[in-house]
Amino acid sequence: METNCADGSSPHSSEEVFSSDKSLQNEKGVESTREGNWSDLTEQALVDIFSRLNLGERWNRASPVCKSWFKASRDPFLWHVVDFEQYFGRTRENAFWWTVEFQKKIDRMVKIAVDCGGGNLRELHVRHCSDESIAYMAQRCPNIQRLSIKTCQNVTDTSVCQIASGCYKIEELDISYCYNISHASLEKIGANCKYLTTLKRNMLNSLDPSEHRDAIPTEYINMAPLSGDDEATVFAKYMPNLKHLEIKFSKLSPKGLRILVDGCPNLEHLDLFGCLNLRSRELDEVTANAKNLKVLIKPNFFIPRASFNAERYGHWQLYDERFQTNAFQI
Amino acid sequence: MAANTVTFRGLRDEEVYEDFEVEKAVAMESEVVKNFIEKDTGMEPLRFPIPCRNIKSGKVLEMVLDYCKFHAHARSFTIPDDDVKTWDNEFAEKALSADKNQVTFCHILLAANFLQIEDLFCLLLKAGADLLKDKSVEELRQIFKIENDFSEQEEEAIVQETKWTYA
Repeated sequence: METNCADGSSPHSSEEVFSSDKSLQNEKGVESTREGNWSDLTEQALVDIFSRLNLGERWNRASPVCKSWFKASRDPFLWHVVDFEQYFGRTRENAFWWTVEFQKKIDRMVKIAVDCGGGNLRELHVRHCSDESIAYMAQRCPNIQRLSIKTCQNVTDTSVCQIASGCYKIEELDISYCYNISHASLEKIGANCKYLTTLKRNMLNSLDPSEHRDAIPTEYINMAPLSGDDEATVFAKYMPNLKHLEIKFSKLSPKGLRILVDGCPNLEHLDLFGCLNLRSRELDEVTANAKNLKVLIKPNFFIPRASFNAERYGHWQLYDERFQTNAFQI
Repeated sequence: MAANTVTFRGLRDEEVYEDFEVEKAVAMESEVVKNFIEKDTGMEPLRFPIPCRNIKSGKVLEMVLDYCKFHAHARSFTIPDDDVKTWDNEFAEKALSADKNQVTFCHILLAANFLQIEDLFCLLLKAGADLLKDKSVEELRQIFKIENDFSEQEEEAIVQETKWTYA
Protein backbone atom coordinates (compact mmCIF):
# COMPACT_ATOMS: atom_id res chain seq x y z
CA MET A 1 0.00 0.00 0.00
CA GLU A 2 1.97 2.92 -1.30
CA THR A 3 1.52 6.57 -0.90
CA ASN A 4 3.52 7.53 -3.91
CA CYS A 5 1.92 9.67 -6.53
CA ALA A 6 0.79 8.22 -9.79
CA ASP A 7 4.03 9.17 -11.48
CA GLY A 8 6.05 7.29 -8.86
CA SER A 9 7.64 10.30 -7.16
CA SER A 10 7.47 10.70 -3.40
CA PRO A 11 4.79 12.95 -2.03
CA HIS A 12 5.83 16.37 -0.89
CA SER A 13 2.73 17.32 0.95
CA SER A 14 -0.40 15.85 2.35
CA GLU A 15 -2.25 17.63 -0.47
CA GLU A 16 -0.56 15.46 -3.02
CA VAL A 17 -1.03 12.28 -1.06
CA PHE A 18 -4.71 12.65 -0.60
CA SER A 19 -5.50 14.00 -3.99
CA SER A 20 -4.36 10.79 -5.58
CA ASP A 21 -6.78 8.01 -6.03
CA LYS A 22 -5.14 5.33 -4.01
CA SER A 23 -7.08 2.86 -1.95
CA LEU A 24 -7.06 -0.69 -0.65
CA GLN A 25 -7.97 -2.03 -4.03
CA ASN A 26 -7.81 -0.47 -7.46
CA GLU A 27 -10.91 1.60 -7.58
CA LYS A 28 -12.19 3.99 -10.14
CA GLY A 29 -13.30 6.37 -7.44
CA VAL A 30 -16.68 7.92 -7.09
CA GLU A 31 -17.65 11.15 -8.75
CA SER A 32 -18.10 13.78 -6.12
CA THR A 33 -21.29 15.11 -7.64
CA ARG A 34 -23.31 11.90 -7.49
CA GLU A 35 -25.07 10.79 -4.36
CA GLY A 36 -23.51 7.36 -4.40
CA ASN A 37 -25.27 4.13 -3.61
CA TRP A 38 -24.69 0.43 -3.78
CA SER A 39 -24.41 0.23 -7.52
CA ASP A 40 -21.54 2.68 -7.27
CA LEU A 41 -19.63 0.51 -4.87
CA THR A 42 -16.40 -0.35 -6.47
CA GLU A 43 -16.43 -3.68 -8.17
CA GLN A 44 -13.78 -5.07 -5.90
CA ALA A 45 -15.79 -4.20 -2.79
CA LEU A 46 -18.84 -5.86 -4.35
CA VAL A 47 -16.80 -8.95 -5.24
CA ASP A 48 -15.59 -9.12 -1.68
CA ILE A 49 -19.11 -8.87 -0.32
CA PHE A 50 -20.32 -11.52 -2.75
CA SER A 51 -17.53 -13.84 -1.68
CA ARG A 52 -19.27 -14.04 1.69
CA LEU A 53 -22.49 -15.33 0.13
CA ASN A 54 -23.04 -18.91 -0.93
CA LEU A 55 -23.42 -19.98 -4.53
CA GLY A 56 -27.20 -19.84 -4.57
CA GLU A 57 -27.39 -16.41 -2.97
CA ARG A 58 -24.86 -15.04 -5.42
CA TRP A 59 -26.41 -16.58 -8.42
CA ASN A 60 -30.08 -16.22 -7.76
CA ARG A 61 -30.31 -13.09 -5.65
CA ALA A 62 -27.33 -10.87 -6.29
CA SER A 63 -26.59 -11.35 -9.96
CA PRO A 64 -30.00 -10.38 -11.40
CA VAL A 65 -30.16 -7.11 -9.44
CA CYS A 66 -28.40 -4.93 -11.98
CA LYS A 67 -25.64 -5.08 -14.59
CA SER A 68 -22.80 -4.05 -12.29
CA TRP A 69 -23.83 -6.65 -9.72
CA PHE A 70 -24.10 -9.25 -12.47
CA LYS A 71 -20.58 -8.45 -13.61
CA ALA A 72 -19.23 -8.58 -10.04
CA SER A 73 -20.92 -11.93 -9.43
CA ARG A 74 -19.02 -13.38 -12.41
CA ASP A 75 -15.61 -12.30 -11.18
CA PRO A 76 -13.14 -15.21 -11.39
CA PHE A 77 -12.17 -14.65 -7.76
CA LEU A 78 -15.59 -15.99 -6.74
CA TRP A 79 -15.21 -19.18 -8.68
CA HIS A 80 -12.40 -21.08 -6.98
CA VAL A 81 -14.85 -23.51 -5.48
CA VAL A 82 -18.14 -24.46 -7.11
CA ASP A 83 -20.16 -26.70 -4.87
CA PHE A 84 -23.50 -27.96 -6.14
CA GLU A 85 -23.29 -30.90 -3.77
CA GLN A 86 -24.60 -28.67 -0.97
CA TYR A 87 -27.89 -28.50 -2.88
CA PHE A 88 -27.99 -32.13 -3.96
CA GLY A 89 -27.20 -33.23 -0.43
CA ARG A 90 -30.24 -31.48 1.04
CA THR A 91 -32.67 -34.11 -0.13
CA ARG A 92 -32.66 -37.76 -1.03
CA GLU A 93 -31.81 -38.86 -4.52
CA ASN A 94 -34.61 -37.57 -6.68
CA ALA A 95 -36.17 -39.11 -9.79
CA PHE A 96 -36.19 -35.76 -11.57
CA TRP A 97 -32.41 -35.62 -11.37
CA TRP A 98 -32.27 -38.63 -13.68
CA THR A 99 -34.12 -36.92 -16.49
CA VAL A 100 -32.60 -35.49 -19.64
CA GLU A 101 -34.12 -32.11 -18.83
CA PHE A 102 -32.29 -31.90 -15.53
CA GLN A 103 -29.07 -33.13 -17.04
CA LYS A 104 -29.19 -30.37 -19.65
CA LYS A 105 -29.77 -27.82 -16.93
CA ILE A 106 -26.88 -29.02 -14.82
CA ASP A 107 -24.63 -29.10 -17.87
CA ARG A 108 -25.49 -25.47 -18.56
CA MET A 109 -24.81 -24.47 -14.97
CA VAL A 110 -21.46 -26.24 -14.97
CA LYS A 111 -20.53 -24.49 -18.19
CA ILE A 112 -21.37 -21.11 -16.70
CA ALA A 113 -19.21 -21.92 -13.69
CA VAL A 114 -16.40 -22.96 -16.01
CA ASP A 115 -16.76 -19.76 -18.06
CA CYS A 116 -16.54 -17.70 -14.89
CA GLY A 117 -13.78 -19.63 -13.19
CA GLY A 118 -11.59 -20.91 -15.98
CA GLY A 119 -8.08 -21.31 -14.72
CA ASN A 120 -9.21 -20.19 -11.27
CA LEU A 121 -11.48 -23.15 -10.75
CA ARG A 122 -9.93 -25.41 -8.15
CA GLU A 123 -12.85 -27.47 -6.93
CA LEU A 124 -16.04 -28.67 -8.55
CA HIS A 125 -18.70 -30.78 -6.84
CA VAL A 126 -21.63 -31.77 -8.97
CA ARG A 127 -23.93 -34.67 -9.84
CA HIS A 128 -25.89 -35.75 -12.89
CA CYS A 129 -23.97 -33.81 -15.47
CA SER A 130 -22.81 -35.41 -18.71
CA ASP A 131 -19.75 -35.74 -20.94
CA GLU A 132 -20.69 -32.42 -22.50
CA SER A 133 -19.96 -30.24 -19.49
CA ILE A 134 -17.14 -32.38 -18.13
CA ALA A 135 -15.26 -32.26 -21.42
CA TYR A 136 -15.91 -28.51 -21.50
CA MET A 137 -14.42 -28.20 -18.03
CA ALA A 138 -11.47 -30.45 -18.80
CA GLN A 139 -10.45 -28.21 -21.69
CA ARG A 140 -10.63 -24.98 -19.70
CA CYS A 141 -9.71 -25.72 -16.11
CA PRO A 142 -6.16 -27.03 -15.97
CA ASN A 143 -5.78 -26.09 -12.32
CA ILE A 144 -8.59 -28.09 -10.89
CA GLN A 145 -7.54 -30.03 -7.81
CA ARG A 146 -10.68 -31.57 -6.37
CA LEU A 147 -13.37 -32.97 -8.59
CA SER A 148 -16.52 -34.74 -7.49
CA ILE A 149 -18.84 -36.04 -10.19
CA LYS A 150 -20.97 -38.58 -8.37
CA THR A 151 -23.96 -40.27 -9.93
CA CYS A 152 -23.28 -38.94 -13.40
CA GLN A 153 -24.90 -41.63 -15.46
CA ASN A 154 -23.82 -40.02 -18.72
CA VAL A 155 -20.22 -39.29 -17.93
CA THR A 156 -18.21 -41.86 -19.82
CA ASP A 157 -14.61 -42.76 -20.50
CA THR A 158 -14.59 -40.11 -23.23
CA SER A 159 -14.66 -37.13 -20.94
CA VAL A 160 -12.70 -38.85 -18.16
CA CYS A 161 -9.85 -39.32 -20.63
CA GLN A 162 -10.07 -35.60 -21.31
CA ILE A 163 -9.80 -34.94 -17.59
CA ALA A 164 -6.71 -37.12 -17.61
CA SER A 165 -5.07 -35.08 -20.33
CA GLY A 166 -6.32 -31.64 -19.30
CA CYS A 167 -6.29 -31.69 -15.51
CA TYR A 168 -2.99 -33.09 -14.34
CA LYS A 169 -3.16 -31.30 -10.99
CA ILE A 170 -6.07 -33.32 -9.70
CA GLU A 171 -5.54 -34.52 -6.14
CA GLU A 172 -8.99 -35.80 -5.25
CA LEU A 173 -11.44 -37.48 -7.56
CA ASP A 174 -14.88 -38.84 -6.71
CA ILE A 175 -16.59 -40.80 -9.48
CA SER A 176 -18.87 -42.80 -7.23
CA TYR A 177 -21.95 -44.35 -8.84
CA CYS A 178 -20.79 -43.48 -12.37
CA TYR A 179 -21.33 -46.78 -14.10
CA ASN A 180 -20.33 -45.66 -17.56
CA ILE A 181 -16.78 -44.99 -16.51
CA SER A 182 -14.55 -48.03 -16.81
CA HIS A 183 -11.10 -48.85 -15.66
CA ALA A 184 -9.81 -47.94 -19.12
CA SER A 185 -10.07 -44.23 -18.43
CA LEU A 186 -9.00 -44.71 -14.82
CA GLU A 187 -5.76 -46.03 -16.25
CA LYS A 188 -5.26 -42.76 -18.11
CA ILE A 189 -6.06 -40.80 -14.97
CA GLY A 190 -3.47 -42.76 -13.05
CA ALA A 191 -0.88 -42.35 -15.74
CA ASN A 192 -1.26 -38.57 -16.12
CA CYS A 193 -2.46 -37.30 -12.78
CA LYS A 194 0.52 -37.84 -10.58
CA TYR A 195 -0.80 -35.79 -7.68
CA LEU A 196 -3.86 -37.95 -7.20
CA THR A 197 -4.00 -39.21 -3.63
CA THR A 198 -7.75 -39.61 -3.00
CA LEU A 199 -10.04 -41.68 -5.19
CA LYS A 200 -13.66 -42.57 -4.50
CA ARG A 201 -15.18 -45.16 -6.76
CA ASN A 202 -18.12 -46.35 -4.64
CA MET A 203 -20.97 -48.39 -6.06
CA LEU A 204 -24.63 -48.29 -5.09
CA ASN A 205 -25.98 -50.70 -2.53
CA SER A 206 -27.35 -53.43 -4.77
CA LEU A 207 -28.25 -55.68 -1.85
CA ASP A 208 -30.92 -53.44 -0.50
CA PRO A 209 -32.63 -51.61 -3.36
CA SER A 210 -35.19 -50.02 -1.02
CA GLU A 211 -32.60 -47.36 -0.39
CA HIS A 212 -33.01 -46.08 -3.94
CA ARG A 213 -36.59 -46.96 -4.56
CA ASP A 214 -38.52 -44.47 -6.71
CA ALA A 215 -35.43 -42.50 -7.55
CA ILE A 216 -32.75 -44.49 -9.30
CA PRO A 217 -33.76 -46.57 -12.31
CA THR A 218 -33.42 -50.27 -11.48
CA GLU A 219 -31.65 -50.97 -14.74
CA TYR A 220 -28.95 -48.53 -13.68
CA ILE A 221 -28.45 -50.20 -10.30
CA ASN A 222 -28.00 -53.50 -12.10
CA MET A 223 -25.34 -52.26 -14.47
CA ALA A 224 -22.70 -51.74 -11.82
CA PRO A 225 -19.30 -52.73 -13.19
CA LEU A 226 -18.21 -56.18 -12.14
CA SER A 227 -14.58 -55.42 -12.76
CA GLY A 228 -13.46 -54.93 -9.20
CA ASP A 229 -10.21 -56.84 -9.76
CA ASP A 230 -9.43 -55.13 -13.06
CA GLU A 231 -9.76 -51.81 -11.34
CA ALA A 232 -7.64 -52.95 -8.43
CA THR A 233 -4.95 -53.83 -10.94
CA VAL A 234 -5.17 -50.36 -12.45
CA PHE A 235 -4.91 -48.72 -9.03
CA ALA A 236 -1.90 -50.82 -8.14
CA LYS A 237 -0.12 -50.22 -11.40
CA TYR A 238 -0.96 -46.61 -12.14
CA MET A 239 -1.85 -45.02 -8.80
CA PRO A 240 0.82 -46.17 -6.38
CA ASN A 241 0.61 -42.89 -4.46
CA LEU A 242 -2.96 -43.36 -3.40
CA LYS A 243 -3.59 -42.55 0.24
CA HIS A 244 -7.37 -42.63 0.42
CA LEU A 245 -9.49 -45.13 -1.50
CA GLU A 246 -13.19 -45.86 -1.25
CA ILE A 247 -14.70 -48.73 -3.20
CA LYS A 248 -17.93 -49.52 -1.35
CA PHE A 249 -19.88 -52.44 -2.80
CA SER A 250 -17.13 -53.27 -5.23
CA LYS A 251 -16.98 -56.85 -6.55
CA LEU A 252 -13.33 -57.01 -5.55
CA SER A 253 -12.07 -60.51 -4.75
CA PRO A 254 -9.41 -61.43 -2.18
CA LYS A 255 -6.91 -61.77 -5.01
CA GLY A 256 -7.73 -58.26 -6.23
CA LEU A 257 -7.44 -56.92 -2.71
CA ARG A 258 -3.98 -58.36 -2.41
CA ILE A 259 -2.90 -56.78 -5.68
CA LEU A 260 -4.32 -53.48 -4.50
CA VAL A 261 -2.72 -53.46 -1.09
CA ASP A 262 0.65 -54.59 -2.42
CA GLY A 263 0.59 -52.02 -5.19
CA CYS A 264 -0.53 -49.06 -3.07
CA PRO A 265 1.75 -49.09 -0.06
CA ASN A 266 0.85 -45.53 0.93
CA LEU A 267 -2.78 -46.29 1.58
CA GLU A 268 -3.95 -44.77 4.85
CA HIS A 269 -7.70 -45.05 4.40
CA LEU A 270 -9.45 -47.95 2.70
CA ASP A 271 -13.22 -48.28 2.59
CA LEU A 272 -14.44 -51.73 1.63
CA PHE A 273 -17.96 -51.49 2.97
CA GLY A 274 -20.32 -53.85 1.16
CA CYS A 275 -17.55 -55.71 -0.70
CA LEU A 276 -19.34 -59.03 -0.65
CA ASN A 277 -16.51 -61.17 -1.87
CA LEU A 278 -14.16 -60.39 0.97
CA ARG A 279 -14.21 -62.16 4.26
CA SER A 280 -12.86 -61.13 7.55
CA ARG A 281 -9.97 -63.53 7.82
CA GLU A 282 -8.71 -62.89 4.30
CA LEU A 283 -9.03 -59.19 4.89
CA ASP A 284 -6.95 -59.33 8.03
CA GLU A 285 -4.30 -61.44 6.33
CA VAL A 286 -3.93 -59.21 3.35
CA THR A 287 -3.95 -55.94 5.21
CA ALA A 288 -1.63 -57.10 7.96
CA ASN A 289 1.36 -55.80 6.05
CA ALA A 290 -0.16 -52.50 5.06
CA LYS A 291 2.08 -50.37 7.20
CA ASN A 292 0.46 -47.02 6.58
CA LEU A 293 -3.12 -48.14 6.82
CA LYS A 294 -4.84 -46.22 9.61
CA VAL A 295 -8.50 -46.60 8.71
CA LEU A 296 -9.93 -49.80 7.30
CA ILE A 297 -13.68 -49.94 6.85
CA LYS A 298 -14.60 -53.57 6.60
CA PRO A 299 -17.35 -55.06 4.48
CA ASN A 300 -19.36 -55.30 7.69
CA PHE A 301 -22.01 -57.73 6.70
CA PHE A 302 -22.84 -61.29 7.46
CA ILE A 303 -23.68 -63.95 4.93
CA PRO A 304 -24.11 -67.60 5.82
CA ARG A 305 -21.04 -69.49 4.70
CA ALA A 306 -22.77 -72.05 2.58
CA SER A 307 -24.23 -69.76 0.01
CA PHE A 308 -23.46 -66.57 -1.71
CA ASN A 309 -26.41 -66.34 -3.99
CA ALA A 310 -28.53 -63.33 -3.45
CA GLU A 311 -31.43 -64.94 -5.30
CA ARG A 312 -31.77 -67.64 -2.69
CA TYR A 313 -32.53 -65.20 0.05
CA GLY A 314 -35.33 -62.82 -0.57
CA HIS A 315 -34.24 -60.22 1.85
CA TRP A 316 -30.75 -59.43 3.10
CA GLN A 317 -30.11 -57.89 6.38
CA LEU A 318 -26.76 -56.48 7.21
CA TYR A 319 -25.44 -57.51 10.58
CA ASP A 320 -22.48 -56.20 12.37
CA GLU A 321 -19.75 -58.83 12.30
CA ARG A 322 -19.57 -58.77 16.07
CA PHE A 323 -22.86 -60.65 16.24
CA GLN A 324 -21.86 -63.47 13.94
CA THR A 325 -22.25 -66.92 15.43
CA ASN A 326 -22.05 -70.41 14.06
CA ALA A 327 -25.75 -70.82 14.57
CA PHE A 328 -26.22 -69.36 11.10
CA GLN A 329 -23.96 -71.83 9.39
CA ILE A 330 -25.63 -74.06 6.92
CA MET B 1 -2.34 22.38 14.80
CA ALA B 2 -0.39 20.76 17.60
CA ALA B 3 2.46 18.39 16.82
CA ASN B 4 0.58 15.34 18.03
CA THR B 5 -2.64 15.87 16.21
CA VAL B 6 -3.83 15.44 12.66
CA THR B 7 -6.67 17.30 11.05
CA PHE B 8 -8.99 15.74 8.52
CA ARG B 9 -10.92 18.13 6.38
CA GLY B 10 -14.26 16.90 5.16
CA LEU B 11 -16.90 18.30 2.88
CA ARG B 12 -20.01 19.31 4.75
CA ASP B 13 -21.59 20.29 1.48
CA GLU B 14 -20.30 21.56 -1.86
CA GLU B 15 -18.64 24.69 -0.48
CA VAL B 16 -18.13 24.33 3.22
CA TYR B 17 -15.37 22.40 4.85
CA GLU B 18 -15.47 20.88 8.27
CA ASP B 19 -12.28 20.04 10.13
CA PHE B 20 -11.88 17.18 12.51
CA GLU B 21 -8.85 17.16 14.68
CA VAL B 22 -7.72 13.88 16.20
CA GLU B 23 -4.67 12.57 17.95
CA LYS B 24 -1.93 11.20 15.81
CA ALA B 25 -2.45 7.68 17.17
CA VAL B 26 -6.05 7.82 16.02
CA ALA B 27 -5.11 9.07 12.58
CA MET B 28 -2.62 6.23 12.25
CA GLU B 29 -5.52 3.78 12.07
CA SER B 30 -5.56 4.89 8.48
CA GLU B 31 -2.85 3.06 6.58
CA VAL B 32 -2.43 5.95 4.18
CA VAL B 33 -1.80 8.41 7.00
CA LYS B 34 0.41 5.90 8.82
CA ASN B 35 2.62 5.37 5.78
CA PHE B 36 2.85 9.04 5.15
CA ILE B 37 3.87 9.82 8.71
CA GLU B 38 6.37 6.98 8.87
CA LYS B 39 7.99 7.77 5.57
CA ASP B 40 8.24 11.44 6.29
CA THR B 41 11.63 12.52 7.55
CA GLY B 42 12.47 15.83 9.04
CA MET B 43 9.39 17.66 7.96
CA GLU B 44 6.74 18.10 10.61
CA PRO B 45 4.14 15.55 9.67
CA LEU B 46 0.89 16.73 8.31
CA ARG B 47 1.14 20.39 9.00
CA PHE B 48 -1.83 20.85 6.78
CA PRO B 49 -5.27 19.40 7.07
CA ILE B 50 -5.82 16.26 5.08
CA PRO B 51 -8.34 16.97 2.37
CA CYS B 52 -10.79 14.15 2.07
CA ARG B 53 -12.37 15.01 -1.22
CA ASN B 54 -13.63 11.50 -1.81
CA ILE B 55 -15.53 11.43 1.45
CA LYS B 56 -19.08 12.50 0.95
CA SER B 57 -20.01 14.34 4.09
CA GLY B 58 -18.83 15.50 7.46
CA LYS B 59 -21.10 12.97 9.09
CA VAL B 60 -19.38 10.14 7.28
CA LEU B 61 -15.95 11.41 8.25
CA GLU B 62 -17.10 11.83 11.82
CA MET B 63 -18.25 8.23 12.01
CA VAL B 64 -15.05 6.99 10.42
CA LEU B 65 -13.01 8.92 12.95
CA ASP B 66 -15.17 7.59 15.80
CA TYR B 67 -14.19 4.12 14.67
CA CYS B 68 -10.55 5.09 14.59
CA LYS B 69 -10.77 6.68 18.03
CA PHE B 70 -12.27 3.58 19.58
CA HIS B 71 -9.81 1.24 17.97
CA ALA B 72 -6.77 3.32 18.83
CA HIS B 73 -8.07 3.44 22.39
CA ALA B 74 -8.74 -0.31 22.39
CA ARG B 75 -5.25 -0.97 21.17
CA SER B 76 -3.49 1.05 23.84
CA PHE B 77 -5.71 -0.11 26.69
CA THR B 78 -5.95 -3.70 25.47
CA ILE B 79 -9.71 -3.89 25.65
CA PRO B 80 -10.82 -7.54 25.40
CA ASP B 81 -11.67 -8.83 21.92
CA ASP B 82 -15.28 -9.60 22.80
CA ASP B 83 -15.95 -6.03 23.87
CA VAL B 84 -14.34 -4.74 20.70
CA LYS B 85 -16.53 -7.09 18.65
CA THR B 86 -19.66 -5.87 20.41
CA TRP B 87 -18.74 -2.28 19.77
CA ASP B 88 -17.96 -3.09 16.13
CA ASN B 89 -21.33 -4.75 15.62
CA GLU B 90 -23.13 -1.78 17.13
CA PHE B 91 -21.13 0.51 14.89
CA ALA B 92 -22.06 -1.51 11.81
CA GLU B 93 -25.72 -1.38 12.86
CA LYS B 94 -25.55 2.37 13.29
CA ALA B 95 -23.95 2.74 9.89
CA LEU B 96 -26.59 0.59 8.24
CA SER B 97 -29.51 2.32 9.87
CA ALA B 98 -28.17 5.86 9.48
CA ASP B 99 -30.49 6.41 6.57
CA LYS B 100 -33.12 4.50 4.64
CA ASN B 101 -31.07 3.55 1.62
CA GLN B 102 -27.76 2.67 3.15
CA VAL B 103 -26.20 5.68 1.48
CA THR B 104 -24.23 6.53 4.62
CA PHE B 105 -23.17 2.92 4.90
CA CYS B 106 -21.82 2.94 1.35
CA HIS B 107 -20.03 6.21 1.95
CA ILE B 108 -18.37 4.95 5.10
CA LEU B 109 -17.32 1.83 3.25
CA LEU B 110 -15.85 3.90 0.45
CA ALA B 111 -14.18 6.20 2.99
CA ALA B 112 -12.61 3.23 4.73
CA ASN B 113 -11.37 2.12 1.33
CA PHE B 114 -10.02 5.57 0.52
CA LEU B 115 -8.23 6.00 3.84
CA GLN B 116 -7.15 2.36 3.89
CA ILE B 117 -8.62 1.44 7.24
CA GLU B 118 -8.55 -2.29 6.71
CA ASP B 119 -10.48 -3.43 9.78
CA LEU B 120 -13.31 -1.01 9.20
CA PHE B 121 -13.46 -1.96 5.55
CA CYS B 122 -13.72 -5.66 6.37
CA LEU B 123 -16.25 -5.07 9.14
CA LEU B 124 -18.55 -3.25 6.77
CA LEU B 125 -18.08 -5.74 3.95
CA LYS B 126 -19.19 -8.47 6.28
CA ALA B 127 -22.15 -6.41 7.48
CA GLY B 128 -23.01 -5.77 3.85
CA ALA B 129 -22.93 -9.47 3.06
CA ASP B 130 -25.16 -10.23 6.04
CA LEU B 131 -27.58 -7.64 4.76
CA LEU B 132 -27.72 -9.32 1.37
CA LYS B 133 -28.56 -12.74 2.70
CA ASP B 134 -32.14 -13.92 2.63
CA LYS B 135 -33.37 -11.07 0.48
CA SER B 136 -35.14 -11.46 -2.81
CA VAL B 137 -33.89 -9.67 -5.89
CA GLU B 138 -36.65 -7.06 -5.68
CA GLU B 139 -36.03 -6.47 -1.98
CA LEU B 140 -32.36 -5.93 -2.69
CA ARG B 141 -33.19 -3.35 -5.31
CA GLN B 142 -35.53 -1.53 -2.97
CA ILE B 143 -33.23 -1.55 0.00
CA PHE B 144 -30.25 -0.26 -1.90
CA LYS B 145 -32.19 1.95 -4.25
CA ILE B 146 -30.74 0.28 -7.32
CA GLU B 147 -32.25 0.79 -10.70
CA ASN B 148 -32.77 -2.36 -12.68
CA ASP B 149 -30.93 -1.83 -15.93
CA PHE B 150 -31.78 -5.24 -17.35
CA SER B 151 -34.56 -5.68 -19.85
CA GLU B 152 -37.32 -8.07 -18.84
CA GLN B 153 -36.02 -10.76 -21.18
CA GLU B 154 -32.45 -10.36 -20.00
CA GLU B 155 -33.48 -10.64 -16.38
CA GLU B 156 -35.65 -13.67 -17.06
CA ALA B 157 -32.79 -15.36 -18.92
CA ILE B 158 -30.43 -14.84 -16.00
CA VAL B 159 -32.93 -16.14 -13.49
CA GLN B 160 -33.79 -19.21 -15.53
CA GLU B 161 -30.27 -20.30 -16.28
CA THR B 162 -29.25 -20.51 -12.66
CA LYS B 163 -32.43 -21.43 -10.86
CA TRP B 164 -32.13 -24.58 -8.81
CA THR B 165 -35.15 -26.82 -9.09
CA TYR B 166 -36.22 -29.64 -6.86
CA ALA B 167 -38.90 -31.20 -9.01
